[in-house]
Amino acid sequence: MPLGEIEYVVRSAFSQTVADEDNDVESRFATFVTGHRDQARRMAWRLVGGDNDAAEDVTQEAFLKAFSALDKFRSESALDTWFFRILVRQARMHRRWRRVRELWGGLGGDEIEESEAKGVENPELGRAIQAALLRLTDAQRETFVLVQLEGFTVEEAAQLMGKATGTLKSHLQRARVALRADLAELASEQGLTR
Amino acid sequence: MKSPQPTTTPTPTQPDRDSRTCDEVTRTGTVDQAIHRLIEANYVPKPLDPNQRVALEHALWERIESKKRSPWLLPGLAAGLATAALAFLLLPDRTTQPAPSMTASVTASTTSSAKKAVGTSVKAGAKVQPTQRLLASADEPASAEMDLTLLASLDAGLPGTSSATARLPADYAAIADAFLTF
Repeated sequence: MPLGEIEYVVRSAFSQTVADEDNDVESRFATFVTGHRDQARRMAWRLVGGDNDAAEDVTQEAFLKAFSALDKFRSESALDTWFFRILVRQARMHRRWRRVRELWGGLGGDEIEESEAKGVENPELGRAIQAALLRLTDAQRETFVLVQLEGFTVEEAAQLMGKATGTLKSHLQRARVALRADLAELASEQGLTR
Repeated sequence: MKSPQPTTTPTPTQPDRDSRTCDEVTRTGTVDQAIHRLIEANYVPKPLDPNQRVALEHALWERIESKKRSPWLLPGLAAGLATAALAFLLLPDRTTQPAPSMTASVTASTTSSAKKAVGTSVKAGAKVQPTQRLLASADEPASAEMDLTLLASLDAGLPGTSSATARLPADYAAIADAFLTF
């Protein structure tokens, strides 16, 4: 077989493999998106403070970033841990930008409250919970959402947030104390403490 | 020989960190669980309706596809902008240069007018102000002889001073050129 023909065969085989791999990666990513979309959206919604549109933006942006960086993903951690780390970072960035916008007068307090009330079933109760959660610091709220509401272990949450386990435990304890002070009455009104 | 008996120190019972009773701890745990249940039940986003879900999925894949189609668009744009900015800063341009001739001629004309003022004051027999003398001798050695020589040359109308004033129209042209050509 002439050399040029061999080269052609090898090249076409290689490009076919790359194309197959691309398709494989894409199909795997599509499966991942379908499987984790709801959880990602719910988590983003809780992390950004109960805003539907912001949650959707953050989720899409996180999926997009994850897709762009798929080649950088090393199988040291699970794909979902890796993705949720991107999501947590994206939500954090969104909160920072929102704070900047608030600071420069682009977004008023009423607008935030309106958007917060949109998502929940019982707006009154949702607003009370929202207010209590907003009184926590960012790190405390993030920890509480990841560990208590999303069911990650402290170690997993520490990995997602890029912080030490001890720090997270301290955040979690403080968040619990603060929420106990704010919401214990509401919980007993709802008949949940019995 | 009897081996010595290991002495065992009785471990003191650890007091609870904030000296809470067992009942209190249990109660706190119950309250925490209740709060947890309350938040979990009432702090969830509304589920998406199917149409919305399809639309959002579509939007996501659209964005992914467009990102795949133009992977070099954003870096390319950034590189282009950076190159343009660098070129603007590096290429010789009248508007970005500090225009040294203007400054020099303005200083020269200021100095010459100050010298003239000193000269006329001396001629009229008035006392020269220290600031005037300072300005007049700003770029020369501060000696009395030099001052006198300069004053004499000013009186005689030597070409050194007249050339500075003669450059003025050209300076005005340079200033106008710098500010009006945009």
